[in-house]
Amino acid sequence: MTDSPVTVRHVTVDYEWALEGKPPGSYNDYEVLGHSDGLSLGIFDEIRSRYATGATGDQPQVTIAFAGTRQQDEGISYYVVLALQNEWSGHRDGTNRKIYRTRWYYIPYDQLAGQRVSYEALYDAFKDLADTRPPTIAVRALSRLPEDDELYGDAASAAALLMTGKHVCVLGADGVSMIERLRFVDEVASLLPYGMRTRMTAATWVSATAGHKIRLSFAKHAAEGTHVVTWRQGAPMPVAEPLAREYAALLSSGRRVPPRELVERLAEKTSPISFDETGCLKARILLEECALPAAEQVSRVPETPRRPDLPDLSGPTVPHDRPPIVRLVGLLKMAGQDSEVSARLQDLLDAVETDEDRLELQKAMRQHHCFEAPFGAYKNPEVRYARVARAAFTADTCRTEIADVLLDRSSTPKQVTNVIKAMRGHRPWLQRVLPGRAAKYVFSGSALVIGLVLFFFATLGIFTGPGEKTAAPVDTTTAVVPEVRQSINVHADQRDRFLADIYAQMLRNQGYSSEVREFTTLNADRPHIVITGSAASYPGYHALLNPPPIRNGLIFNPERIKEDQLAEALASKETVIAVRADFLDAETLKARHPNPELSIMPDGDIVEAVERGDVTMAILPDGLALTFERSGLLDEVLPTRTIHVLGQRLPNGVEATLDGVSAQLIEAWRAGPGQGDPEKSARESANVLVKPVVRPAATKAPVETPPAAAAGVSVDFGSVGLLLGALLLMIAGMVVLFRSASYAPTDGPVSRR
Amino acid sequence: MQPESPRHHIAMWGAPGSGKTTLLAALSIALNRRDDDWKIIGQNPESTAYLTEMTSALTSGKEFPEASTALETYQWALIGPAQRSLFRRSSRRASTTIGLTMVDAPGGHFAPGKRTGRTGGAEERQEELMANLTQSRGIVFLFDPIREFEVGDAYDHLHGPLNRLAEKMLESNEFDGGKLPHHIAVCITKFDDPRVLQTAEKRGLIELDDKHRFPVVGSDEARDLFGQLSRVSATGTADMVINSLDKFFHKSHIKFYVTSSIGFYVNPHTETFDWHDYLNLIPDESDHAALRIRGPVYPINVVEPMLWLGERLARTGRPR
Repeated sequence: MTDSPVTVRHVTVDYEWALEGKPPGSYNDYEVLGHSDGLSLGIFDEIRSRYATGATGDQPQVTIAFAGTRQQDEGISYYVVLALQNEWSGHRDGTNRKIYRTRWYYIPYDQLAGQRVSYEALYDAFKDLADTRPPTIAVRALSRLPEDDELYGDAASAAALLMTGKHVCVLGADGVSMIERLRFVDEVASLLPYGMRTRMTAATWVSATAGHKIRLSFAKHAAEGTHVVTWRQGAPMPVAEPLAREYAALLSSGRRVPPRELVERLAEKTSPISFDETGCLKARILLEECALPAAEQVSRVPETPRRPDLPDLSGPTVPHDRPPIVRLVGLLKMAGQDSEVSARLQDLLDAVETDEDRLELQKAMRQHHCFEAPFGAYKNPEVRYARVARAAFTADTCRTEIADVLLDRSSTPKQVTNVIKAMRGHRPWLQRVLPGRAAKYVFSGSALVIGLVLFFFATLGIFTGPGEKTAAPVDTTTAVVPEVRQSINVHADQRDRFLADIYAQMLRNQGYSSEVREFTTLNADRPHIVITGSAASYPGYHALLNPPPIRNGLIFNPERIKEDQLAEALASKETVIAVRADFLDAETLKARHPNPELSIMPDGDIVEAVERGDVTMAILPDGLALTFERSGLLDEVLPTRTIHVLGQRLPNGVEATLDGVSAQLIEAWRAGPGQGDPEKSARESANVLVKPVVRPAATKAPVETPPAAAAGVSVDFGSVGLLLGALLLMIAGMVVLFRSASYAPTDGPVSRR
Repeated sequence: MQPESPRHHIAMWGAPGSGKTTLLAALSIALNRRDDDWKIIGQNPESTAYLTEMTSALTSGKEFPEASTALETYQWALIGPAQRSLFRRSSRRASTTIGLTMVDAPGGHFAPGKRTGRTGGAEERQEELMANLTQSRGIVFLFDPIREFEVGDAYDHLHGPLNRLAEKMLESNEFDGGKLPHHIAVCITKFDDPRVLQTAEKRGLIELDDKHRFPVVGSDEARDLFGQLSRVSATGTADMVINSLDKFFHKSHIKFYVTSSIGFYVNPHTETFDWHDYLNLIPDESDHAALRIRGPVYPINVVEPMLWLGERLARTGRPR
């Protein structure tokens, strides 16, 4: 790369190209007509079809996309992809339609990173190339910086909304020129760390009815589920999107440096960052860092004890000379015997050395419900819960958001919550009030005294019999009683837990009591919902939802392993296959291919592991947007799974409501719980689909007076109960008084590995 | 408005250039040409905008819509005549409403190009398409006899996806008596092309409609015409199309239509069809390489497949 001699600074970059169009008179669809030799036809074809915008017509448009390829021993090479669309070729196809061309240019990201090259500069450099294709091209660097104090207004809204991971669509810009829309894309991109350009997709126009994959777009109408930004008016930040709100706040009030300085600093953040949950969190941290004055940046210390859940990925990477935590977690999840669980748990705990490892382990605990499977399947799971919790939560790592989630989650084993609380220094309220052993003496003394008093009154009651004034007059009493809500349970296997949780929450939102249960407790006479793979087993049930079938496919990184080597790899013990936690066909796969090792990981980790070569291949559901190749080698082994949601005896209103949201529900289900807490994610999805109804907390209902005691029998059960309670209280007081403490949480530092 | 349930999804199926998008574009015009109360309304702003723009392009711009480059989804409702109420007190009469979710995919999605092969992108597109087909219960299959004569790949575009669809429906236990549960309207397109019209005429399959004396081919005769047109397939595989349809769909679920999205030219003075001057697609004087739509558009059998599918799907969905 060299600077050009002109006053405006330029960088010279290499590029790959492809020309999309049709031969004149063709009856076929658009295709790649020609391309450079640096990348394969398959890549060009995949990218052009994946990022199709559906925008037709003769108005020139620009689409921004990305591509990644793995170079031998050099990691992933990213390309920023620029598509110049809608250039009429002068020819028509076999059905008399004009043939338009799209010129695709792939510019190596590492030649742009650090140069502050804008998308507009790329457009200017390539727009007039046509069929003359010099080997390199000069691109204007150091894009313009904001001048006044207004930091791009609506672009800031769009940048913040991109942190939600959902698509953002700009409306009301129909009359604005394409180049102005492209500049807007640049404004938005300049408010993100530059590294996000390795995953950024944007288009100056898309078809509102097209199922496109463009993150930031302009259209006449926005598709459902898309965040809308109104041209030059911005957009409100959704309450349910805390990260977007934080990002927007940091761009406006939270910023303590001039706009141009902020944009300049963000442009220096060139490590590749994705738009998934992890990437967006990382972006927010970087923005926070860039928004501080330089002096504070140097000496900056965390303002709160809370740490980000994920390590800073921009720093130098540590060479992996030990198995990565995610892989060991995957192995633990796959353990099929008690002894295997013990051994693999030990391996995992031995591998936890740094705080980053602990945070990784915390992520896994959140993801896998503190390893309920496999721990719960064997004796004494409590010990294992406590061991894994002590490894994950130290005094330094116990104040994470994941720890908060686990504390909030009712299903978290108490051994885990106890460890977190202990590390945080939580004590029972009495211990906080009274120092040392004083609490113990106060508690035991009080228990003995209260027990004695109660004992006295209870004895008195037994000998005097029931008092006449205790019964209320018949038919005059009303009392406030809790409303009895009808119960509609959702029966599902653990593997369908996420969908079941959504249904349960939607039912609760409609005022019903609902829990997710296994099939063993199915009561055909009561209203309920089942989630099953076999609709035929439930005759007479109403279908509430028939989601599309799920099919798993074998994914591999062609830069790491060739397709014709896959069969050999499947026979090797060295092979590691990454699978998701919801992969159900492990046994089937093992029966056919016993040698490869299966490792359970979250989606995001699988992608990274395949990219890095930590695993040989992966099995993932079809339909995910991945840059890897898919092989049909396991198609026969991995069956397609279809589930049905069926309702029985549901009240009319419930069935209609659930039926009405089925389309959106399928989307939420396919999107899955993401990286976060699945239960929480399910609740949030359900709350969007069916708004919770507000009901009075209690209703008035007549209370039946108890029947008069049978003649001749005058046992006062209240007094007997009181007597027993008093005795128990006194015993408790004695035990506390004379027992020595076996475990006392401390405030002091906890030993670290 | 709530989105329609999957039983109202109708997918368009056909090779590139077979006229899927044009048929959708002509739908609104076709409804406006009818003397009954049927009309089409978008169920969301983007679907309404498409209807408006396409109608305008065909009537004012005299141009065919551009080919789809991405999978497009339109949510419309066909609103029909009001039903008479049995109860006199009822002041409002309920109209017939058929919700339609139309899915228009680029034709290449049905059969990936031989040059690029089955790349990850092609797989992804096919999966997307299959997800839509399994969701739908109505299919509009377009058979373009001109393309079949020139290229002869209708069978390629039907056979592969049909097998995959069958596989998926079988897996989900949705086979019905050994056949797919879908209804399929087979549309033989480009009836306005002289080669198609003359074939129908030679076989004596033509009737004339009452209003403009347009030639039309009835549904029973349409199947016969399909057979005739299959004989001139460039690859000789078109006859397998009809066999495939019979194997995979119930006979009562298949209906043939001979369609034209732009229809025939009508003499403005006599307002009737003229056997000596009926071409509605003629060379453009300003651009001799191009063709333009000559006169008003009179779609033939464009609404009928939709109404048939809509009514059948509404009927099969009613027991719930």
